[in-house]
Amino acid sequence: MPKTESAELLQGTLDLLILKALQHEPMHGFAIMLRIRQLSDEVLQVEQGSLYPALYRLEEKGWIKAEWGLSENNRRARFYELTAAGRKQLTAETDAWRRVSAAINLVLKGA
Amino acid sequence: MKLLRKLRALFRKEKLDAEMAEEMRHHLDAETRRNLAAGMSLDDAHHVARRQFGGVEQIKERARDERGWVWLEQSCQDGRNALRMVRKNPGFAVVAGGVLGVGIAASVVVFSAVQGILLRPLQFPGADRLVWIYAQHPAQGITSERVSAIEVTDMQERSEAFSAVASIHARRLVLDTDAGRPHVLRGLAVRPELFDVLGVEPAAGRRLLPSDVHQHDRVMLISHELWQTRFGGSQAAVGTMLRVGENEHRMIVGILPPGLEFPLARAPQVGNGSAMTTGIQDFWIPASRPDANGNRAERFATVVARLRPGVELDSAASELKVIGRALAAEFPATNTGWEFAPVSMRAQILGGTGPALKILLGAVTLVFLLACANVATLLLCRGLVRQPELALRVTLGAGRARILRQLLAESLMVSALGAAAGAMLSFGMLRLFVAFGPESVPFLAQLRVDGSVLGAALVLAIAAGLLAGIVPGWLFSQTDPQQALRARTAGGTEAPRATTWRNALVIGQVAVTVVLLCGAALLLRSFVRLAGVDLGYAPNSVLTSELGGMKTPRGDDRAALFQWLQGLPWVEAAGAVHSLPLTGKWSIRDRFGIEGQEKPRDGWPQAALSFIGFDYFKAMGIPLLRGRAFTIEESLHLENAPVAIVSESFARRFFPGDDALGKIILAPGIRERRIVGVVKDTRDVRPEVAPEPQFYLPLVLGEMKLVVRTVGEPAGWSAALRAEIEAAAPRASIGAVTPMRDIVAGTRVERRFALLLLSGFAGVALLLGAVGIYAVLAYTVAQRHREIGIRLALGAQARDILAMILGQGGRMIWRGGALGLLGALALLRLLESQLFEASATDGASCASAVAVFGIVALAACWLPARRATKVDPMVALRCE
Repeated sequence: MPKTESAELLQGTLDLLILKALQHEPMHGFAIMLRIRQLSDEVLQVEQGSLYPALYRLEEKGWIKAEWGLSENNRRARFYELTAAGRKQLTAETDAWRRVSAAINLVLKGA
Repeated sequence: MKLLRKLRALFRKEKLDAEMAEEMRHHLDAETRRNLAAGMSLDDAHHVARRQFGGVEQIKERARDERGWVWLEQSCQDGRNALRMVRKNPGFAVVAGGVLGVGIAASVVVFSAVQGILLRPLQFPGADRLVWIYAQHPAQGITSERVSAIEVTDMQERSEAFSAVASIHARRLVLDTDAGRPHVLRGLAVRPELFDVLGVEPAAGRRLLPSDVHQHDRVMLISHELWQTRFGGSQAAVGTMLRVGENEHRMIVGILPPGLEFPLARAPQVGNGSAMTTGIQDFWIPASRPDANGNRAERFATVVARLRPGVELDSAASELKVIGRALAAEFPATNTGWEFAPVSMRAQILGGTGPALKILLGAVTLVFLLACANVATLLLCRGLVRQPELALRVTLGAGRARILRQLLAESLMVSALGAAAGAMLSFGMLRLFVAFGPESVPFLAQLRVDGSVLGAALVLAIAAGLLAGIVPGWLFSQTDPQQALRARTAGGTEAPRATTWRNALVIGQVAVTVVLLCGAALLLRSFVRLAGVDLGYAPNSVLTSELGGMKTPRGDDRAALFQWLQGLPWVEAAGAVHSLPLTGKWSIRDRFGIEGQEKPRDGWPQAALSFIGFDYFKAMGIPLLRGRAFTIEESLHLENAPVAIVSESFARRFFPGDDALGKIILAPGIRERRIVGVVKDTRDVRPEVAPEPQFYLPLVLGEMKLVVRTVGEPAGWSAALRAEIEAAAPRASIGAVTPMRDIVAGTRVERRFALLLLSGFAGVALLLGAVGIYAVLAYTVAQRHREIGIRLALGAQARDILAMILGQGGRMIWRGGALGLLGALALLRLLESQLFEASATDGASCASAVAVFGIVALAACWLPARRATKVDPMVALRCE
């Protein structure tokens, strides 16, 4: 499958992906990027240029919080984690996405 | 929480930036390691990682944008840049800031004056219901005359339009103190209704009652200020008896409220310098009520009344007209042709100053606009020079809005400097304004720079900054980078639109400057003409003094005093007069008949009457044209002296083509009088007012003004005069000793003040205009540096370059000058009220003002032009 440029991803969608990636454990930026790739079977390759602004935006909104910690190579890295509000947002956005995509599918099938 | 984070983003920028950098670095490392693990070489791995990462700085920027308040950060950045600009170009900032500062200070001062004077209400409750009531005689051209005591009673009894009517006239009492000289008190004789008219109550004690007049129990109220100084504010003052004259005692029955300032300076027929009627009066005493036989023609009372609620000025005016006609019918001898009219006190007080202040407002607005235009020109010039730099900025990604904001920030920075300078200057200027201002301007002494005015200064500064910055800012934010950069290498052609604006601004400035200069020139001419007017007397060597307490029935004291004075070696002549010229005559206009002439249809004429004695004409320097002056005997004994002296206009008017000498005048109550002398006309009311027919009767009253012609400088003899009077007449009280010259100068104070102000503005305008032209040409030379170098290299002579630059400047000057001249000629019409005898030569004054400006402006062009000739072609061609 051709690599999908992340520029085609809507901003809100990227937020959703990041929140999902952080669902189980805190991760640093690079790890999040890898995880999204992994979860999407290498289809969705998020560019760093979009990733970090999105991370800061989500941090602004209070859905994720960040802390400095040690990465696997003992380097200092900033780890992001979902907040309680973030979890709620994840659920809400997931539901919304499901509804929207189902509707789009219906439309595509109908034509 | 969010707010906190934003604030932290604002203030802890470096730390957060460092953290972000570290985060990115870590990411890059991790990416590189991953690539390595996938089998790339170290370099390749790094490269690929970096490439994938994209522009780190751009990411950081976008990330940063998400983090903080963008606009706030950018504004702070703008501010910092503006500050840096100021530090790098202090000259520009100082000049521009100074220019604005002056404009702002001038505006603030005049604004304060307008607020403090025009907008400030009179201190009495419901002051806009207060009116003066004048007597008028339209046929004789008399418009603001005082009223006789009986007429006041008539008005009180007959009128319905006023809730209260009262009269006042100035009085003088001499307070006898146990220690030393008598102290002269100035105050008013009032009717008790005055308390109702003004709406004031005594601070202590009681007010005047109608019964106070009928008893001969003398009472008085003293002013709060006098109470403080003489009695230390003690309550025991009420009830004390004061000795206020030869045989006069008065009991203090009340104290007036503090600060009771009755603006009598604007009362009808009161001239300048009459210290008796300005400021705070020391006392109020009851005015004597005349009986029914009192003299209707003795008009000495000033009437002030309060309109009844719901009654408007017009209805009051109509009612007074009716009353006037009724009185004229009932008392034709004295009242034919006389009318009464009310004038709003507020309007009348401001009437004198209103137009002058309006002209001032106009002038100061011009100066402010001039300052803004000047700063705008400076900014334009600087912008033109900075065009390449701005073009570079646009290329690097700055949006137009961003550039506009930055340029506005710079101009606001300049205006901030201007505001600071202006605020400081305004305090100083206001103090000067108050110090030099004429006393007749009401409320002048209380003028202050208050908070609201400083607030106005701030607003003005911001407005100025925006005004001055908006045109240059907008023009330069439109910079097309390609064109600008190309122009730079090709040799500096100017942006046409900016240039047009710049030229227009300079021409406008020149025009405004010329207008202000012409205004000042016109006022100056008018002032000079006024100063040179022939008063009819020669005030320069004359010393005057108030003399009182000489009411001895015998009159010998007075004769002795005058003979003594005349005998002094430094005295050329000594005389007495009841009321000095230019001090607001206690104007008796008496009717008189002329023996052998028919009584005219609308009654016997009236003329001004003056009581004089001894050698008055010689002392005052009034030439005796025909006949003789009064003798000493005539001066002292009214009953035995059936003589009169008239002025030449009197003679011309009532004895045309004939000799007035020997003719008899018939004055009711004063009997037949033979004219024994004719003297030159004098200007008695104001120097601007033409002389009126006048006749003089010999009478030396108890209170009079002493007039002494001295040898040499009169002021030097003041102490000597006082000493001589004290020695020769120990029971006399002496008031102020004033050189007549000062009294005359006092009438010119208002004009001089207006002249000073306008000249100040004109001077400022001249400076600004010169600075503007200099700046424009200097920047032009800097801009055309390369071009000049090329010309010189191609063989142009120094004088060609000079001509080129001077020509550029000259074109702007003459265009602006022409425009300004047109404006000034229109201004002539506006200024007419302030000018004395405007004439054809005033066109010449304008022309000379323009010439002055032309010279200054050309001088301003000279320096940059000279610098242009010094350009080294090699350097100019080489440098970029």
